Amino acid sequence: MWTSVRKVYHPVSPSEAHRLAEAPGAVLFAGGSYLVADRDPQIRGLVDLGRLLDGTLRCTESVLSMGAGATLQDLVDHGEGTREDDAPAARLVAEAARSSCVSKNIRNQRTLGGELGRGRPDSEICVLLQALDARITVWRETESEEALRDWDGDGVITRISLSLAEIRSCSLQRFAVIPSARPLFAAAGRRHEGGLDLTAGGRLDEQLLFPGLPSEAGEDLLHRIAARCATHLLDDGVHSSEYMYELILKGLKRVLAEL
Amino acid sequence: MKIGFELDGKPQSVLARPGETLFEVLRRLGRFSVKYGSDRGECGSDTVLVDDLAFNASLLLAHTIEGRRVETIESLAGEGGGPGALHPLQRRFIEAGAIQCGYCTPAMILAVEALLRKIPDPGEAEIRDALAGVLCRCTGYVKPVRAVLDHLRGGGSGGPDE
Repeated sequence: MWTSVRKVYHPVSPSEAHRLAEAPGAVLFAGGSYLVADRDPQIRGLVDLGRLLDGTLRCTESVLSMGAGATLQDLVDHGEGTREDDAPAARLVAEAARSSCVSKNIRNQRTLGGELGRGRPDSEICVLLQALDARITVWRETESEEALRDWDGDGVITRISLSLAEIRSCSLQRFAVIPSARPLFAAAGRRHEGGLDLTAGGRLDEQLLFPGLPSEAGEDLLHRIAARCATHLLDDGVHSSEYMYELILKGLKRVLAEL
Repeated sequence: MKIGFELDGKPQSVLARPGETLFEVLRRLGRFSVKYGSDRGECGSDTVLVDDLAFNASLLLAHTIEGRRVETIESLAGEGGGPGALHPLQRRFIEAGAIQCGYCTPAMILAVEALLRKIPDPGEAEIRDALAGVLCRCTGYVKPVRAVLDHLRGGGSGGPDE
């Protein structure tokens, strides 16, 4: 029993949801897998987005559009039905959704919007969507569209879209103790007209973004990126900083090799 | 708040508190086959089917199942064979020795049932993926997969297993 919760709100519009969630002790509630697991005693009101969020997925030649109410398992199912030749990014999104949460039970519950709202550094789907420069539709007082990278965490995400046409190639790498474990390090990259974007996550205190890198990133640049990542490492008492540095470097090299 | 849903084929109407989970509601309704393992969804022994998909009952708040169809292992047992009869998957698990203490077995069978309703002829990777959220305290993971593969060779989801 999550005893601190006194009220569940059912807003009829995203803007109403945003307004309700600004009240003290209130929080947006989508799939709820994180919130119910945490049972934060400070939370007294849940603003349930369940009946509000669209969960449809649409993929054309140029755009992958995902409703924020789509579950991680919806992304897996959709990606597995997409031919790799048609949309490699859609396939990669599916892989990232699966590895972000190994339990299919929880993937059935966890929504993409909620996952982005939580923004875990060790969520591969978050790392990948940052690298792919996803755009989000966000409701505050009104609706607006912005880059996921620029989002300040305020508002209700209702849709996420990727411009597939701008992605020449993309890659996601993860390193974990076992496949079902959360990643020690995860990196994603995409090659586009303007160069190269990389993101890094895993056992870091935040996701790191390296946009607009030169197309042919050299060894020096990779070492500088690895060094920056290393300053954000969370100590797990098991893996030494030297080991993690080498792992990060290897991950970045693998991303580049696949692009 | 009052919540109406279908439980194992029968309509239910219950009063639930805003922070109450489906697991707690099911316990009140006498469904002890849904096991407590973890409040954080780490174990999966609390698996139920909601509209044919597998979920962890401890992670679902009761209000989210309004109007939905919830199934526990009790709805599978007796299917086609009358009261007391086992579901073909249950029989396969027993025959394959895929049960030790049995604590996670209802969850494993429900997770597989959800898979078979969606993909009647899954591969081993899909079976393992479906079971990945259910931890076995006895660490028995090989035989459940074998039981499902045996079941598939014997007639498929919900069908006759002989």
